[in-house]
Amino acid sequence: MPKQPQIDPVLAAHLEHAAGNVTVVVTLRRPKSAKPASADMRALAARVLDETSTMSGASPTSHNVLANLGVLVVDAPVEFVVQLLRHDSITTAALNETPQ
Amino acid sequence: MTSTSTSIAALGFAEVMARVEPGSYEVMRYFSAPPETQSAALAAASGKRKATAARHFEHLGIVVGTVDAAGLAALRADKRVGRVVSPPVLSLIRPVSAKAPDTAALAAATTWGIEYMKVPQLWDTGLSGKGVTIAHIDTGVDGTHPTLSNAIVSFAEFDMLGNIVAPPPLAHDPGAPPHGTHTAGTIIGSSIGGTRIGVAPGARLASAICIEGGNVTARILGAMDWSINQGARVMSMSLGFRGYWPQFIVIIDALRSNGVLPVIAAGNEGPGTSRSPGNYVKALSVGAHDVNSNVAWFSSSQRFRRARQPIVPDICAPGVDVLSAQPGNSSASWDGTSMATPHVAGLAALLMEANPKASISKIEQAIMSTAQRPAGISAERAGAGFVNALEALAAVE
Repeated sequence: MPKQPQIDPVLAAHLEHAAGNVTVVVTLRRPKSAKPASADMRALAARVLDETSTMSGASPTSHNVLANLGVLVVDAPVEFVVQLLRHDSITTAALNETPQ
Repeated sequence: MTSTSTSIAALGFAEVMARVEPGSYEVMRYFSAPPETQSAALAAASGKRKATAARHFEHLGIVVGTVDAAGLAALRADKRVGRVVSPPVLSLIRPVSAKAPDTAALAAATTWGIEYMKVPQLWDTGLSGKGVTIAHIDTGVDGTHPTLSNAIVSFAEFDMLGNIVAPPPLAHDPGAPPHGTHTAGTIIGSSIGGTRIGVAPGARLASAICIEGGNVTARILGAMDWSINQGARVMSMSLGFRGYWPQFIVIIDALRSNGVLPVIAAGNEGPGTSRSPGNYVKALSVGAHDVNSNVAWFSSSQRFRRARQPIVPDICAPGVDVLSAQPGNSSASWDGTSMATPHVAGLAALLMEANPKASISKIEQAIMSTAQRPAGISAERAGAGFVNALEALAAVE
């Protein structure tokens, strides 16, 4: 059973009150055995986005896959982000923008 | 002391806060107590400390909320509160001071830092960092500066989602923010006025603009990801989140699994502080020392409750009165752990050239195990000690 994702509490608190779009940085679950190929991480990211869209009924406005690092950056409506954080391929999540 | 604060303190909480707007404060409290006890404490804190909009994550043992100035003052006044840290503010580690170089510095054969580390002895063996690419995660660089000519092999700028900006930016913009030009000079610069300033002048630099003009996480991660595609074996980074934010441990793991040694500044906030990701176990964190073998007053240091490498920084390197390049064919002497970090990144490149088959862990271990701590300098401030390039070379060959 996958471990619960490590969600930055600042992001979690932000989602309580957020409206409109939120930009988040999530890391994808990497296989423990070997260094995953970039293509595999891109495929995983695409699957996560598709499944989250289906479950939430919303679509991301924009996204970027940093395949070497296993990172997905998503700008999306709150309902999409909330659903994304429930996906079992997510290991960590944080807000992209931090207080200045 | 009120009974409320007593009950909270009895839970052993180490809490945390920072101002987010005038008159209000974001508060996070870390409890070590069972969830039901946390709930009771939260209720008490909300009432007595004027917390509002609190959100309780009982399985994490964390509460996020907001208190007003009076509530914040009460929390800070509680002597039983373990520590106070900021929320995850991402920023460049700015120099503590900057000044024009003095004539003595410009008359020397090398900078004092390069001499102190015994780098010229490595140069004498023919080492220059040749064949090694160093990722430079910073503000950009003035590649037209004579000391950097032909040293920058790739350059990219990243947008707020971590995408490479197209078309390519002004890779050789004399108007580039000065921080990146200074740190690049210490890594690979040739000379200024006859003084050699770069530790690894034969190395190649892959320089990324990803901080200032938008300090968001994705820009930094985009630059790191790009660094791997550039074939970098060392990453020199002088920025971070104030405090300890574990979300990006997996990122540092990913860098290392791709063969990149992350060399990261500890921060300039002094004793009892550090920044992430420099304060992760798997980052090679760098503090600053001066020419008189003192740890710089501003150099961050912190002890963590962990078995492996509990002290940040791992090592110290020259970071006071460091002469390097400035945009517009200029130069300046700066203080900061940002200035110490490129010294170590350059050294790592020299060692990688000396032993191309050495793993990044071996390189890191060679630097750390041969660092020396002068009498009177504590491990709490200096980690393993001050870098000695000559000893590190012997350890890696």
